Amino acid sequence: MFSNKTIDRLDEMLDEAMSGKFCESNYDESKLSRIESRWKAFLGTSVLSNQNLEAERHRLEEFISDISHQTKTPMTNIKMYTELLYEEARMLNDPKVPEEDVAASARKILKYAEKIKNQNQRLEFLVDSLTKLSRLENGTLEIVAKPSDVNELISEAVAIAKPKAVIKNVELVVSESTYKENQTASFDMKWTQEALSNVLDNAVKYSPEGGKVTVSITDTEMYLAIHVVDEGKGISEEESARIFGRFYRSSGNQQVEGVGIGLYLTREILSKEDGYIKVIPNDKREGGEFILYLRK
Amino acid sequence: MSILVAEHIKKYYGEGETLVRALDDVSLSVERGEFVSIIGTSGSGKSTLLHMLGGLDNPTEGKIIIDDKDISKLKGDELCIFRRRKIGFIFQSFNLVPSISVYDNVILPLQLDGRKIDKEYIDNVIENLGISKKLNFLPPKLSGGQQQRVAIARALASKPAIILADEPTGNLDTKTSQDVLGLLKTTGHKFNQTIVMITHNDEIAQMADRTVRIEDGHIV
Amino acid sequence: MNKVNNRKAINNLAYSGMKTKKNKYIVLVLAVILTSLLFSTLFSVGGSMINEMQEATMRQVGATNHAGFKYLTEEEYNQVKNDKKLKSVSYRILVGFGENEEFTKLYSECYYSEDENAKDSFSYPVKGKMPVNENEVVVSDKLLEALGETLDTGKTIKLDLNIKGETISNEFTVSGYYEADPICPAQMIYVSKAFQEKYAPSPTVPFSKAVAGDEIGRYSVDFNFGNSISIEKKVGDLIKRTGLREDVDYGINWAYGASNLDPSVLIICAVLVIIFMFAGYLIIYNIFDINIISDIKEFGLLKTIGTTSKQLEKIVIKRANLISVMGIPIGTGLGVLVAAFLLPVISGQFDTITVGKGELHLNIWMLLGAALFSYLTVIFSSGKPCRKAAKVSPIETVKYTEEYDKNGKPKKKSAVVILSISLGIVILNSVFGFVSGFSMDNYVQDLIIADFSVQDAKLDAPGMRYTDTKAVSHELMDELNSLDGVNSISAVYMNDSDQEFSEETWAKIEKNVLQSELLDEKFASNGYSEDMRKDELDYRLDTKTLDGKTYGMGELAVDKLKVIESKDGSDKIDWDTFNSGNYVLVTRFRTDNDKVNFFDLGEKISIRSYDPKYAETKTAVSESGEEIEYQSFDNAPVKEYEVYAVVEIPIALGYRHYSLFDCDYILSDEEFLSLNGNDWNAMRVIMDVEDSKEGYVNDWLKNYTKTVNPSMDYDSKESITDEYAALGRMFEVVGTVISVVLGLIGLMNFANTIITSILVRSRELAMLEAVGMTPDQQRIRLMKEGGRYFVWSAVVSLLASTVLNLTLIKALANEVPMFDWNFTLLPNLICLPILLILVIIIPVIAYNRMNKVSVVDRLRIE
Repeated sequence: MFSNKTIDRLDEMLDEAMSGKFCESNYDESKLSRIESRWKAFLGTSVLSNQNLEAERHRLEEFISDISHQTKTPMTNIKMYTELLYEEARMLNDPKVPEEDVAASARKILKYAEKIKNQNQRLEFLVDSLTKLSRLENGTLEIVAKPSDVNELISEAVAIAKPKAVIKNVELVVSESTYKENQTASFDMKWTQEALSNVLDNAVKYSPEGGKVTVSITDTEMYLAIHVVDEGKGISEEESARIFGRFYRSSGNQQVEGVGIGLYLTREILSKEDGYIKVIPNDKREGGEFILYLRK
Repeated sequence: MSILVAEHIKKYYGEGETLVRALDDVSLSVERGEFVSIIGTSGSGKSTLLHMLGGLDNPTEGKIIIDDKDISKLKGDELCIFRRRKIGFIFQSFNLVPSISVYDNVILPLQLDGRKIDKEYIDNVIENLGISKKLNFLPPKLSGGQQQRVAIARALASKPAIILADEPTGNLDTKTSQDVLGLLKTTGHKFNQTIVMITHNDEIAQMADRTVRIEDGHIV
Repeated sequence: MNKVNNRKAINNLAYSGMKTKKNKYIVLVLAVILTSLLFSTLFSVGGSMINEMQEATMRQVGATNHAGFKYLTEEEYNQVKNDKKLKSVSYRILVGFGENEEFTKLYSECYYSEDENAKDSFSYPVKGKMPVNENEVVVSDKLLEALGETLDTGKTIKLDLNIKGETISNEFTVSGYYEADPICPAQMIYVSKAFQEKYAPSPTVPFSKAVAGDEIGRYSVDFNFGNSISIEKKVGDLIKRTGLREDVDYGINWAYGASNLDPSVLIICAVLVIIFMFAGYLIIYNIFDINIISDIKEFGLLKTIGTTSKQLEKIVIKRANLISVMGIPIGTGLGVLVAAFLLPVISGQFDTITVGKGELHLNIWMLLGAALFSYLTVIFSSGKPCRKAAKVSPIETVKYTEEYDKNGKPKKKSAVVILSISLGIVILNSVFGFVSGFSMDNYVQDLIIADFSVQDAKLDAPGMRYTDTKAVSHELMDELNSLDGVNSISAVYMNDSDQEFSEETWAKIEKNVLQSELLDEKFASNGYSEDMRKDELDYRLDTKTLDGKTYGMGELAVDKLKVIESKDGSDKIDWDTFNSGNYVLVTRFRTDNDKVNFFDLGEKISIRSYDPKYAETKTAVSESGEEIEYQSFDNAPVKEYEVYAVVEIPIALGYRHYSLFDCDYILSDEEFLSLNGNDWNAMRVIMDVEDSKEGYVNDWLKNYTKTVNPSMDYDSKESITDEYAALGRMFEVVGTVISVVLGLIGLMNFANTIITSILVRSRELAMLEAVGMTPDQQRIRLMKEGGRYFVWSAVVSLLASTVLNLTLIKALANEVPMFDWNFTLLPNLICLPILLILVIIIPVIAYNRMNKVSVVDRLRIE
């Protein structure tokens, strides 16, 4: 049976754990010492899971505040344009309004309606993204990574991004050697299309007019890497660690539309598939380059 | 809550005119589950810092607290057992035991501690690192990248408090490096491991959640 | 404390590490094989020799029994025979002695013997059976041959038996015969119980020494105890327990004592064991050490991932154990084979061993002992490398660029290498120096000191009690003297009577000898009991006499005496002065360890004449009332002599019967005869002969002793030299085997050192190659490095060999009688050139092997 000393120590260990002060007394080859170490490890992981719960709650709070923050601008805009719309409409109703002003007013109304529609679209996109994100983060929507066709992934994602590229007069090229037969990796087709098209959208967005976005593939023992290269000004080294944070937008890119949620989502998706995303900072090369690593 | 706290670490070699301050008042703190890279040129003191953190060497002054335990005063076999239980090492030169199989290498820290093998967990780690087909090979028969993946598996096997990686891709080509770093990052994340990696390479350092730069024995 | 169980990991690390570095461990196993081969050879040979010697001694003694009582009555026998602590008891009864003319050169005793007793005495008939009827007899094959009979039973032979001084001649039928052991001095004649009861009935009164021939008809009872430890004490206990009379005569079989082992043999064995252990230690240590250095990375790595010093030590010990398990049985087995080859050569030298000569006596304890010694050597040798492994700093491994051989102490490392190489050579040189110093002359000198020695056939035979010490007549001497080629001839006369002393001298002897510790030692070594000591001392104090022999020697013989101190300080006796008739030479009182003078130089001592003309017949009355006649010289004249020198008499010269004091005098031959009368015949004659005439004289003596006078015998220096030439051969063979093994060890050590030092530094060399050093330049560099080892090793071994040879080997050779010291560096001169060749070849081979791997690969981690 156990010696009293051992029992005493176990008792002490429990007391210390409850008061959150437990620490190993020493390290040696005795079983008791090993139990101490494992006890410590166990307490550590339970602290970690508490921490995770805490972080989850914190994230939810942040999320709510993010939503309120992000929806604030379009909502305000809509409110503002609606006010203006009202004003113009009231003016039109007034019979004293001169004829020439009516025409101008009608143009204004059209413009405001357009603005409202735009803001509404933006709101819609935002809510849509946030919903995806929340489902993803809460795990209500599961990502199932399984061997899937990489060619399909690329061609679909490119097709999604294409219209915006055409509008912006940006050439979206899939380099020659990209499509190969039986090119598979382990990923979730739907979500990964989302991830890749996010990156492509981003590349198109930051490309200058008449620029070019190239998609290519490299292959290592463990990963299949999809490179997305654009001719924009790229990401600086300081920024590179932060761009994958939620609602991050490049400081110099305020005028470009977007909500800064895409890269974060992309990173989360890839991470759930045991893959990851990496950006090559612009001190290393010209233009921007994102690499999506898919686990083979 | 910090898993690792280094407070005012000093490491001096020699004395008088030949005194070398390898580390001069370095403080650092790493959270649980964090992936931190320490970046510095050769001679910056980053290796010395890693040795201190890993209990391979004692600091001249200062405290190193890992998992609430000040290890700067531990000596000899106690430090050895501490390492076995709390630290997973990944070295530039892989440092696998060449004479025993890949699998035995992976579970060696557990066996040294006489612990039961959590087969499900180990299999999971092995699967994630893509070495399940190599388990019965001897390390010298493996490529560098594969060896380093085995080293990562070994570091993960004992679920240590912290994994210390010392230029883990220093001996590997770019492609293989990418594999190894990717796996280090993804498995570390997956198994909630705290990782401290030292490197001289910015691009590699970027893989981490956070980078700490060290120059001439100081954190900048 | 409850320890965690990590044996599995340690085992795995220990054994698999060996598998991957097979070549290294094969070398190590070879080293262990070599070491255990040495031990097992030594133990097998040694053990078999001791066994053989014990057996031989038993045969010489003529019995396997632990001890025996002599001269018991039947009643006394019955007292003993049922003692519970005795394992086997058997008896024989002395009837008399064989006296046939044909038995002149054979000493024979006649007994009635129980079958058991005959068996234990190596004399149970190989053919036929023990006698039952009165006219039946069992004799030895030698006796049958002497009688001119063929070896068969059923023959009728006539035997003259001396029973209580009377000769009784009878016809007997040979009921059986046994094969006499050539080393047993006595031949047995076994008669039936009926014959014994008729002619030599057992007396009922206890034995008395005073009654002549009282031994006849008495029981000799032999017995065994449970084991052979402290037999003497057990006999004492037995006497008390059974109530036997306290003065009962008993004998202890000295085959069971350790005393039959010559201390010099023990010393040699001990020295060999130490040398072998040391040689084994050196090679195993060195290889282990080198292995650990090359494994240091592995050990450091294990330490970083949490292997403790103790676990590392365990790994090394486990490897040592496995190496032992593989190497020791093979080595021990091979050692037995080598021993089987060596034994006939060695035991061929021991004249005493005749049965089972050169047979391997395998004893499990001996082999276990050898294995244990080998194992101890392995464990000792792995000790320090083991601690080194445990002390490895974990940082060593994480440092990518590291050179193990330049750990800041390269000098110490080189010193170890040089020392271990030199030590092999030095040991070889010393062993060779000692063994090659074996000197035949030195050895034979003790056995014969002149070209020929002529004496009574039985004089020098061991165990002969009644020998003729006046066998060489003056006529024979004249005849010998006149032989062609005889250069000088000298008689040795001997009179065996107690020496008498003046009051003054006696007082001194009493003080110096009788009261000295030396006497106790002498008593002890001669096996005197307390009572016997007291009797002897009382008798000496009473009569003021000491036993001793008075010799008369001619010039040639006197020349052979070893002079301890002399009046004129020279180490030779000046013959003319000595022969003047006023001087005497005396011996010292000696024990195995020490000696003391009886007399001072110049002291006057008196010697009584034993000329038969002064003899008076007197009668004495014994205790039992019997009248005994004896010759008295009480009234013979006494002459006074001055002590001229203290000497030692070589064995070959004197009378080989030793008593307690051996206070011997030597007079010149002329003086001896003038004192004791000219009719006194010589005990022996020694002569030196011209080399060319040796064959002629030998033939003459052979013929004379065979046909003219068979009671005489002769020794020649040549025959003895032949006999012992084989002994020299033994030393050559054994010396060669040891030298070859030691030489191998030295060379292996050297080769190993060089190879490992190259392999360990493969990175350094690759680096040099990378910066532009060509392979040829590297080879030259390595050779130069080996050359440095060589030069230092050569200097150290030559110096050390010289010093050792001049001190230790000299002392040892001078101490052991059959060795002569001479200076030699021959093994050095043979080994060093071989080393030099190896120095040139090994680095090139090792380098070429290593060079097959590309520079780039070598620059990476090994």
